Amino acid sequence: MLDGLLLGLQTVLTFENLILVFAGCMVGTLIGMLPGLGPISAIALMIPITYGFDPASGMILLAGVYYGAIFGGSTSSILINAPGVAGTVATAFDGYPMAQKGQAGKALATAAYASFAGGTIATVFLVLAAPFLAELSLGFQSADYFALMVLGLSMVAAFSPPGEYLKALLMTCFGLALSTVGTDLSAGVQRFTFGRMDLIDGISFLLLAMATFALSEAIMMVLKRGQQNTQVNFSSIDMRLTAAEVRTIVPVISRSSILGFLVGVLPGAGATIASFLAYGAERSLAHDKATFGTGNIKGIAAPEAANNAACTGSFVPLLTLGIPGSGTTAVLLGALIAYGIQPGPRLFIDEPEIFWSVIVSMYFGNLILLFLNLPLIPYIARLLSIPRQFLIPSIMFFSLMGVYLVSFNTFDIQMMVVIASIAILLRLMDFPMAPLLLGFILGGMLEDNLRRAVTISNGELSFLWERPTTLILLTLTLLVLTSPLARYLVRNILVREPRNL
Amino acid sequence: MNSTRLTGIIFLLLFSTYGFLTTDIPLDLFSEEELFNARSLPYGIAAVGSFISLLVILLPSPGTQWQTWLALDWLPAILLLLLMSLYGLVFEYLGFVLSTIIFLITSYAVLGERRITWMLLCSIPLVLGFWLLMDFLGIYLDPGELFHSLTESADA
Repeated sequence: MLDGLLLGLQTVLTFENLILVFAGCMVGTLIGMLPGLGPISAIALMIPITYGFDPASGMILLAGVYYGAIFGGSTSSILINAPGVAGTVATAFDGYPMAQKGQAGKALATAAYASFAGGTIATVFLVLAAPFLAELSLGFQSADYFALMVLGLSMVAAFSPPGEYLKALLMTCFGLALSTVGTDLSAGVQRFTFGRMDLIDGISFLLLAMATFALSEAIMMVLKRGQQNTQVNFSSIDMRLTAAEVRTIVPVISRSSILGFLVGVLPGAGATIASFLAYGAERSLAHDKATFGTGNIKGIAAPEAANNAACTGSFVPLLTLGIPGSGTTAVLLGALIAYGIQPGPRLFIDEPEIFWSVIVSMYFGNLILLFLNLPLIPYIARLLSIPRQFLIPSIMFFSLMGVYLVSFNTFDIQMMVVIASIAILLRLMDFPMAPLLLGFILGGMLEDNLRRAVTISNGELSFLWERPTTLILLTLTLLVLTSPLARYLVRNILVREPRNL
Repeated sequence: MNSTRLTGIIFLLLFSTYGFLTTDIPLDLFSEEELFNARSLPYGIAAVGSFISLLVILLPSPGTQWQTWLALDWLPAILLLLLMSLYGLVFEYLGFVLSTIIFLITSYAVLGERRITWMLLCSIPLVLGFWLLMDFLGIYLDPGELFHSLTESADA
């Protein structure tokens, strides 16, 4: 493990890679700060730029963008009550009231310290857990992978907000269906291409990510024109915390970081659930419950530590099993595949410099956010004052160019417009987009592993229960899928307290 | 009609069509005999997707309030989508620089900007800066058919 860490340090501690971590954090902060644009959009926008880099440098940049975007989302949550990312919604509950009381600097500093501590604690856990899990998953066979992917896709739906369970499942199926467009490489036949050459290679994941996130977010900003408040008070941003405040937040940060990491490791859970769980847990534990929501410093520390720890935790299934646990890690997986690297247990053995440099760069990302980004926040936050009429077309331009520069095919621009239009209508009806992306990314891998498992078992379906790992994972899937249905039936039929599924 | 239910019906139609189109996937004689072939996963997705769509249609759901849709700023959003589509259509003919400048200026105008100087100041440096950056990275952005035909006629 120490060798690995040294290898990671050696890779990251070059002038170019340090610049890339810094640039990633800065760009991520800038994009994440824009209301509506989260880490998925930020990473998707940056992927085309990384194609010229070697894979390790590309991943270092994207990891910096990820952390920067989460940090930027906290800034807009606190300053203008407009979370750039779903994972920082809970931060706005107490962050914005603090900013209104003239304590914006204190709130931002608390968010930065909590994020740093959460990231640090989670990185330690990741360093300890990842190699162990990678070794363990070397014993995985196709049937286990298939079962694990089905579990991951089910958990995304199970962790969706109340009333959106079926919608999330439907979006997962939609994503899986989109993944089948193009040439089936094992059989060499075209599927759903309607004779169009442009569809022979299928839909690019970057196109789908840009259209469903960056582009549709930009248009959503236009649709909801009157519903945003972009008044920022830049005066009196004092970032000092008192000793009493530090003593108050230290135990909160420790508890929330551990909780955040554990939630982040679960496929499908991610930063949003972690931040809400941590906020809820701290409010339940607190003696001053009534002050939560009115500017309690613990209400910022808890979700911030948890969401950053969850971000790090979500790298565990990505790096060790090659399975993304969230929409953001799904985009990162797409980037890795685009670099010609297949994440999974072999990554740890075959490409250790990438494995360890991503982990080390995460820590450097946290350091940069704390020591370089935080003091610059009052200046970076001025981005929020850019008039929307100039900002939105720029986002549209970068999204369209990001996709065009990969394929040099204007058909992709038309396809983006169509997909973005569909995504906007679905978002307006509260259909989540992350399951669509996850279904799309996992679709190909799921089919490959299922095909291999069927072939190995000579066409028998017994592979579903022959191996204990497969059986356990599929049983878990069944439990995950049926528990919301069971809850729904109990509430609606036995208790008669109607809730939506 | 309830918006969620309506979406359920649309998805049911979509997955049914998807399942129907799956029968068009060509298979050779050998693949037809296999338990798992190019049609297997699409059939599975069509079946599961149709089942979930049915659940969405049948189970009670509040749906979205249509009134909230009416309060949204639809006109500029639709115009921007059309502009992007138009941008894609004229991109190869007008070339990167010209088509992007026109696209940006028109988008600013759609979003309410009326100061010509600001529109030019925000679009031209952005486009030229991006073009120079791409040139520096060795990525070739074609100046467009219009530019080529103009230079050819000038040469002639």
